[in-house]
Amino acid sequence: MSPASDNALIVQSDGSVLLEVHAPRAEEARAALAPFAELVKSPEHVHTYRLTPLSVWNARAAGLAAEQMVTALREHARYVVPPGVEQEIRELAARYGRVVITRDGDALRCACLDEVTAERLFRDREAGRYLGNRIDGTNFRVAASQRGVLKQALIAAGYPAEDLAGYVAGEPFATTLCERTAAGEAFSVRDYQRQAAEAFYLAGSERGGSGVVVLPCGAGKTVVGLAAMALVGQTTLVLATSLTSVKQWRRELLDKTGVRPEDIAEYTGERKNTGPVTLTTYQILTWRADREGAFPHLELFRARAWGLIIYDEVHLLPAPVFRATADIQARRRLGLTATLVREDGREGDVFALIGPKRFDVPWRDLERQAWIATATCVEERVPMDPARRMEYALADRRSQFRIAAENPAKALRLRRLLERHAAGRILVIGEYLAQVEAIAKEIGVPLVTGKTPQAEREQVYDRFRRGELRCIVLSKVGNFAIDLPDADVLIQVSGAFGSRQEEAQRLGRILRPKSDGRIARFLTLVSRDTREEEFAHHRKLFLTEQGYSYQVVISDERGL
Amino acid sequence: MKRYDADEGIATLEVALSDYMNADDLKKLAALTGEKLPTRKADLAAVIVRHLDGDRLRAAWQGLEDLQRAAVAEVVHSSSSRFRADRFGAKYGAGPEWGSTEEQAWRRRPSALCLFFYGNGTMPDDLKERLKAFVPAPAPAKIETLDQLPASHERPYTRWNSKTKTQEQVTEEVPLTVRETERTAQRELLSVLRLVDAGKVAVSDTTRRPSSATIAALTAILEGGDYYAHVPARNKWEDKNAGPIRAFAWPLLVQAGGLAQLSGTRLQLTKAGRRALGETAAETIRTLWARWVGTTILDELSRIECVKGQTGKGKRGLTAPLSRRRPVAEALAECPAGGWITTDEFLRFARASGHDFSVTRNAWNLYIGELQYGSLGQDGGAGILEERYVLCLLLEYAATLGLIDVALVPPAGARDDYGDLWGTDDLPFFSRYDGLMYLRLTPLGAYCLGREAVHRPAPVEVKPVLRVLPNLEIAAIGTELEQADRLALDAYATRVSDFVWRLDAGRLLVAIEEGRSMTEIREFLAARSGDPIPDTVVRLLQDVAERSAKVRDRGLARLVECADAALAALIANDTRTRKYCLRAGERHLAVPASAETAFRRGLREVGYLLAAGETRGAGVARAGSPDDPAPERGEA
Repeated sequence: MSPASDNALIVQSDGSVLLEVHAPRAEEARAALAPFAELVKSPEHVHTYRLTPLSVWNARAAGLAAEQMVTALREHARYVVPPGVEQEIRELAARYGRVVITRDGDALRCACLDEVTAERLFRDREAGRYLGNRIDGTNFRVAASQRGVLKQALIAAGYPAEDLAGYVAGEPFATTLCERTAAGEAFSVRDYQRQAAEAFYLAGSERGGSGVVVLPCGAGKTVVGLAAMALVGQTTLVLATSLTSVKQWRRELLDKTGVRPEDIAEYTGERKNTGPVTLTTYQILTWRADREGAFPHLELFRARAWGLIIYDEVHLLPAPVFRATADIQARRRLGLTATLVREDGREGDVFALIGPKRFDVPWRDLERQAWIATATCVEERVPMDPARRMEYALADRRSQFRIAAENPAKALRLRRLLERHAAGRILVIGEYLAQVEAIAKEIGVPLVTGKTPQAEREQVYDRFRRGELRCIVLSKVGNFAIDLPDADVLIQVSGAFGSRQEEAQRLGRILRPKSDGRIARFLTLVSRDTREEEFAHHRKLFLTEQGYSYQVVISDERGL
Repeated sequence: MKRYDADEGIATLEVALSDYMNADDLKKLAALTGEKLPTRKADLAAVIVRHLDGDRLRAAWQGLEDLQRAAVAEVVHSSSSRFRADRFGAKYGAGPEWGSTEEQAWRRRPSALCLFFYGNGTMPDDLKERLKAFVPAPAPAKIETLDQLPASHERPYTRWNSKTKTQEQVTEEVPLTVRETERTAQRELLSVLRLVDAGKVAVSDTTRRPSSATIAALTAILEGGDYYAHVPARNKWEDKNAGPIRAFAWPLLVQAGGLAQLSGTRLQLTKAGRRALGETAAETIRTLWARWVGTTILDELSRIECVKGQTGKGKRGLTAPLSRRRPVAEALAECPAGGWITTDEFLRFARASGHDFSVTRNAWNLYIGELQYGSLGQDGGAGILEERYVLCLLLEYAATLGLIDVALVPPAGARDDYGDLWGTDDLPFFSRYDGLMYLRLTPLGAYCLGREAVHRPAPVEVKPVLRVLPNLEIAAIGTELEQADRLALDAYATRVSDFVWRLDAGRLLVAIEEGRSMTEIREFLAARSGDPIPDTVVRLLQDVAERSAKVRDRGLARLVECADAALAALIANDTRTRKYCLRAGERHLAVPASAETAFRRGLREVGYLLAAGETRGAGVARAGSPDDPAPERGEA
């Protein structure tokens, strides 16, 4: 094995590919690799991609041949490409296109390339359930309603369908993007936002129209949604995580598009209207009267002939919405998220039912281009006093985490941090209500929790936006979709165990670029020598893999 | 002429000429003076004496060639008066000119060098004393080091050429395996001591050698396994396995060093052994080496198993192992630290510098296969024996202790110097140590051998072949990693794919338990990445290092159960016993093993004794008396 030291790729036998970003030909290698490999992580120095069935099939869908993928690997690999990897690429690529779903009147036609494949799928336990109506040796008639579940089953069987059945046309509704915001400031869709929307829409072809765009918090995912609406030009249903998020969507629509207020309807706990652009929450869609009952609000998916459905924070999509989405495969679907990491491991369902990842960009790349604020991440280890250490030591394992998370010494440390960042616009976020209530009381700032009425929340946020408030304490309602662009310091005093997704979301709260170029500071208080350290390590993973480096300090060592 | 050989030395030139020379030889020697030769032997001797008298000795010496002068200087400045041709040849690469070399002795003509040596190469003492006044001391023997270790070894072998119908001497390239031992040995020592402490090292009570099960257990804890991995052979004729080397050596080393002693069939740590668990491994290794040099626990020659007669007729002739190990140690001590040396060069240097030895006084009683035909007294067998002894001492003991790094090839076919010995046709190798091709004195070796007063570990070589990532992963991105680097990464991190390892606290704690240090991994990562280590990684290493020091092993303790809580409190608080025990729950006391004797004595003074328990631990019982008999065992 003679190494070609200028080459940037190291192809491993498990299908992962390391890209050394400092290698002379790294950018060339990245461009060659990205079309058929998924970026798994991008910490400093070395980025990791993975060749997966889905990534290879996506590349095939985009017209890339197996030999082109193999050649790209060979050309940029530092060492000889393991033969098993080349073989795997060829085999996976050969499977793509063996099954094609097309429209056949009111129903669908599932056509296999040859009888062997048809027979294999016909006998498959899952896929066979939907392929009962055989037209001939290689063709099956499938009910239109089974499009989603059939695609799921075909992927599980290892034969991804090329879905050329297209989309049903929604009610036309033109969305235009403004050149100036309501406040009179110049507005334009950034290049990467436009590329993301175009990668999703694919010029209206049936090969596009469904998929996920992954962008960091603060990078303007909402604008990508608006750009996609403009491209599709049909009625749109937006699914958001909370009422606050619904309000934010409304604000953005009114601020940056020509959509009139009366064309925006909200389908929430407060009011249940539908309109050309309807905003709703996952919570209302998954509401039901009792545990065994049906989900009445899922009917919203069929309430109008939606031309586009946008799933905001798609990584939080609840299971009932997944199931409902399986039934609406003829609608264009756009997922927006900062991270495809799902703590429940259902990334595959997002792929199958919403669509493949259409666009992503490493967080640090956007930071370099100043589209998101530069951030420093610091984890501070706060010691517990002897009495609390003893309480921690004697508690059962589950309670230990909470005892550590609610370490009262954190409040003292927090006070010092507030003094240190006196000029900052600070968000304090915690997991436990008792803890955040105590903190808010001690430092004398407003508290926003799930119990805070919506109007009151909006009032607090508005005061913060106007600069009347320098600091807000938030419970975990602050994890998502609060639009406080001026916040530049976030102090998390506790979190949901080792949730990487929560860590990423919280960082996102302060990533909006600041008008004066201030850097964002993401501070985490962790009790020293406790399980909280272990969970903190897990939480850090996502961000370190996005290229952020953490500084870990011990309070005592800094003389604080 | 009275005598031929001069083992005892020759006092004067006159004695040499009269007692060790016949008239014919004197005549040839006297002819070198250029004087008119008399006919009587005494007169001939007088001519030579006159020729070397006074300042004429200097002139005679000046008339010698360079190598001849060197031969004179070697003897003049050595403790012996005898010229050692083998040493001289090893040092200078050739022998001095002694004269013509006709087949018939009567035709031979001596050279001027013969004026200085008599009786088979001995310099008369008076001559030596006079020469000392002006003959300069010879330069010490030099050893050559290599600038760079080659990647492979050219192994010679014989091939049958079917076209020419002849045997051809050809070579093949065999990759070298480098074993850097300094750090490994220090960690392995702790691992071995822990294994002993766990009662898992069984040795023979007669030979003190480890059992097969022990060798298997030891091989499992050796870093990267033993020097040569065992490869199953289809039959015994194809078996080319070297067998255990380090796994064999460690139990003997710890016994010889007084760190472990036999208890039944298993070793247990001595007090020194227990102390060694908490001391700097380098200090312990220095002691181990010093003790090994003088030990009689094993004669390394017995490890060269093809040599028969060692326990029979040949046993009496064997020299003491100390007399062999000491010169090897001295030769090693003269080697420069840090430079690779071929094994053959080391053997040459040892001979040239006078650090040679004999394995036996009578090699005729040692043999291969069959005493009559395979005796090692012929065909240079004794020399092979001595060289193999050195290889054994170096590889099995010096390298195991980390005194030298070694570069190895498989022993089969590595050396072909024994092919002419009778009975060696079926041997895959002469000794399992034949594959030792290169060695390098480590800083630890320099310290143990007395070259350095303090141990300064070798700095880790800087090679940017790794990237340490903030997500705790380590990616190998440089040119291919060396085996030693892979082993180090495997020891500290979990391998997640071909080129990626991941650090985690659990694996790091295991590494510390195996005797590694967080400083070492940090230095290693810094040296191999060439970049500062990310803060997340630094913090993880610090966390693990801190946590690893928070719970300490203070040695074994005996658990003592008392009849009730009051009795336990009484003993734990009594001035005669409280220093030697600790409360462990309500009715139990923990007595450190080191304080057990004192505790028992104090306990008796308090009026109780330690009775053996029924199933575990021991119980405290009131001391027996005629009126108050001691309870049955385990009754307390």
